[in-house]
Amino acid sequence: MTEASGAVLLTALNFILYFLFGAALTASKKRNMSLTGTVFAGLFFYYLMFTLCCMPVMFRWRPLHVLTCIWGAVAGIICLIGILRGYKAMGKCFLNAFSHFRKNVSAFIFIAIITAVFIGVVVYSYQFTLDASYYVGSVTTALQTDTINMYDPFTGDWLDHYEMRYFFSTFTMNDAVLCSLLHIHPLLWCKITISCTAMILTVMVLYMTGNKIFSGDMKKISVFILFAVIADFFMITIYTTSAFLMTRNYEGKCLLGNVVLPGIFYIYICLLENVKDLRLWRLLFLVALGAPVLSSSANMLIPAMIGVTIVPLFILRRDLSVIPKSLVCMLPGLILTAVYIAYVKNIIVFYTYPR
Amino acid sequence: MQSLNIADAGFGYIIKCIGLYYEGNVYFILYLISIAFLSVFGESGIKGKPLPAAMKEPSAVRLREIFLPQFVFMALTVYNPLFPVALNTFFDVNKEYYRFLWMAPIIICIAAAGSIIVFEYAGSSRIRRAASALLIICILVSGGTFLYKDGYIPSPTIYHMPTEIPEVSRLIHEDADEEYPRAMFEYDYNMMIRQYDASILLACDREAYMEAMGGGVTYESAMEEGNYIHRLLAVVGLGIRIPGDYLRSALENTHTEYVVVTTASGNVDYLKGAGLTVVGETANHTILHYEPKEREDFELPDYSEVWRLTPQVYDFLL
Repeated sequence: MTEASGAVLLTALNFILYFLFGAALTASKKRNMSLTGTVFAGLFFYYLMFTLCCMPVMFRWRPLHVLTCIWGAVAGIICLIGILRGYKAMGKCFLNAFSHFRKNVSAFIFIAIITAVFIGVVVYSYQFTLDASYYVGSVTTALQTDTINMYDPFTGDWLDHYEMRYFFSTFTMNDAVLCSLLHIHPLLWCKITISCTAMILTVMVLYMTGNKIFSGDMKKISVFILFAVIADFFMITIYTTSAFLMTRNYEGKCLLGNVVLPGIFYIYICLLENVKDLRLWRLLFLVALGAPVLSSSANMLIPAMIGVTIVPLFILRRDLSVIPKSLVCMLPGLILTAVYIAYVKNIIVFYTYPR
Repeated sequence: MQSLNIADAGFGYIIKCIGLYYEGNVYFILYLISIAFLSVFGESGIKGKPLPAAMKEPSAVRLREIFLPQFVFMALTVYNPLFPVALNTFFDVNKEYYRFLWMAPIIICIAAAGSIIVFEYAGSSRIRRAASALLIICILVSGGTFLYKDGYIPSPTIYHMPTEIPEVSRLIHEDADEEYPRAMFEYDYNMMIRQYDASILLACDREAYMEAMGGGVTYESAMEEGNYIHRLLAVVGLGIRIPGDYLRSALENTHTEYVVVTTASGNVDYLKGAGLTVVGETANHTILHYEPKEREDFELPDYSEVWRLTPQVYDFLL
């Protein structure tokens, strides 16, 4: 039970990392820092940086422990940059958050209770899902063999080439690295820590969206979150985002459906207010770069989601600059889709050994 | 969606896809109603009532702009019957087209409409607001399929695994001479064991097992020459009895030394008769060992020097 409690507490570590990564990227003396906005940006920056570290290690067939050392160092440096760049802004940010909390204590307690019940019920339950054999299996396999994606998680047999569908989505390898760093069993990390992280991130994006829609009216936001969480318990078929959130919350696809796509929708709402805000466009580009790391499905869904939100934005705001900016944001997904098609058409393949 | 095929369903695919996606719940209808509500009443107010505060806020973006245009554009593309058919000519999207439906902010839209009804249209009395919130919750509950409709099962272990999985893993390793023993399990355990212990190799992967459970393995296919995996799946997965020498050749050729079956399945005596010996038992499972004539020499390849080699462009081209 101590191990399970430890796994729950490690959720905080994830959020500290996301926050410091976000601070390293966005902190500025001139602007106020938002707690949720920084975590949101940090999430994508974190996974983008991880994949940039992971790719060269995979290309040179180096073991997992090398990646663990590299990532430990890189993450440490970025966190330090985040602290150095943002310590003043952070102080103000926490003070603002605390003062906002004090003004709306009852609403925040209400949201905290909803979130705690939501997480408690889901994480304490037993779910059998087939895909765990890949998503958790690849983490245990990587740790067991000290390799990165070189063995079939289903059987344990050696693979002669990397499976391209998962080549760029290094989410599970990040799990393996953190399990290695923290000496925690992959099942505890995936099914408790990552599950809690995914559900809190989902509520956080709901809060951010509600905050925009209701212009900061905390009563409306708290009821909005209550309805959304109840809907998540009942909009269940094997295909819905809610089903992924409730039963497959350790997968990158869960984050894609419940954090990334609603996150792009949130950015769209912000852009409706100020279509020329370059920071929002940079954030959208960061999401487009970081999301494919979570799941390869993002390669197609992110450009599509940008398309279905940005075209209406262009029509509503009649701003021509929307088109080139959104095309740039679609590029990472489109390029990765092209690479995947080249793999499917037998044009390229990444072998797990030098030929 | 495994059961749907764009080529077969044609322009009717999207309707069937939406039908399967929301099977048994009314959330898509609630989404449409919410968009209509936020777009029509949210904009003009009801029966000459003044605009709700959320709409009057000078800096606030009108709700119609948030939800309606995105839905219209999705109706023209993702929900358009032509779109999946056209897309499928370029990419095979049969299995994953439903993920495009994730782009609709269904829950956000429904929850926003609900919150506006409670605070803007239910009056200022707390009782009326609570009653309207309760009514909306009733609609959400009755209109959907509850996650735990078949009962809530608490996780039996901190690993979110059956309690016997760690025990089975321990018993196999205690008996095995090698670090990486290969085993064959029944369906559930075959999917779970490597999540707990990746040093146990499996004779059969997920796809083959799923195919078998879907009717892809029969007595006849198991008896075909060289079809070793089918033999293991027939015996362990489906409980089909094949001649003992056929099973032994399958175990020998797939280098499978351990077979784990439910004790109550009735397979234990059959497996013992085929030459396997019981090496361990848990509350509900029996672990049997097959002594191979030739042992698999499974070793992890040594990559310690490989990294010094620089990959060439042709290494990545087929």
